[in-house]
Amino acid sequence: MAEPDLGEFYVRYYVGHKGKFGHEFLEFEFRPDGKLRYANNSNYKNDTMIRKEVFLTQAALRECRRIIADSEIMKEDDNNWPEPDRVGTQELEIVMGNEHISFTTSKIGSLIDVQSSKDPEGLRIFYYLVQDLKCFVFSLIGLHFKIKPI
Amino acid sequence: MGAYDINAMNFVPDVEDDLLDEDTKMEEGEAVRPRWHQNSSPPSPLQAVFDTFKKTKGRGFGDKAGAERSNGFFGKEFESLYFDGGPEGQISIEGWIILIMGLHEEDQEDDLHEVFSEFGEIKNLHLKLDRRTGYVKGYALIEYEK
Repeated sequence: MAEPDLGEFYVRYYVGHKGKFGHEFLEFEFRPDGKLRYANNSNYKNDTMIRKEVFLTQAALRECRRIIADSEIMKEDDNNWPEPDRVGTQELEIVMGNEHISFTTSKIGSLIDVQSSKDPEGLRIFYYLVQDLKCFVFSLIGLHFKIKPI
Repeated sequence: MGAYDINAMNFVPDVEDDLLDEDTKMEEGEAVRPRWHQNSSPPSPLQAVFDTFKKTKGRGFGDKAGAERSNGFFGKEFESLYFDGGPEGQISIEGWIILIMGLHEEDQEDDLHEVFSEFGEIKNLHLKLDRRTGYVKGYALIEYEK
């Protein structure tokens, strides 16, 4: 099956904070060559960093791209979103076609935070997109690295 | 029910990590890219994406938040899956995974299971929902026994 040229595509999401258990974060990226990387770090109970990577087909990248395109996040702007703070930081960087966004904001606990922000419409899009992307990544990584429980 | 795409994956030793060095300095006036995208040679596909002209938007370009961010995430060993080179699919740790796309938002997990059971014994089926609407997001991942 011939794959249509998708143009340039890159996604990176980071959420994290520095606290009692060191720098705890979760990060993933979809690279143009199809590599999906995932890292999750916490020092809680001396937990070590989890780092996993798999190569995705164009089909999987296309699905990721569709999720992002459908969200219309590229039309948003982080100007009026809450700034990263002590509680934590989120970063979403996307390259799609000739557009390149790199948004930052604080952690969002729930929709109440979204509603009370200065840009609830935009932040809501971000809030749900991040969850949908995480869901996709966890499924891909989880299934591929799953080990049968003993 | 949409056509399914096979979700083949691949393992390649990582040669791009040097471009992600954490200690690359952000230069004045060059706030277009987060610093860890710089310093690559020769240009990688990733680098090429950032080098071409783009309309940029957002506070993440050259801000402090990025500079304070993750140390040691990149440039270290990732757990990767062995890949045998075939185009049919990626062998996971315990089976084979396919990605199904183009699902209807009201498709049911049971129906999917029934349809795709024809091709082998399904070990796992992930049908994810849209977090906002609660309807099917449009894709599913299925793991088959060997």
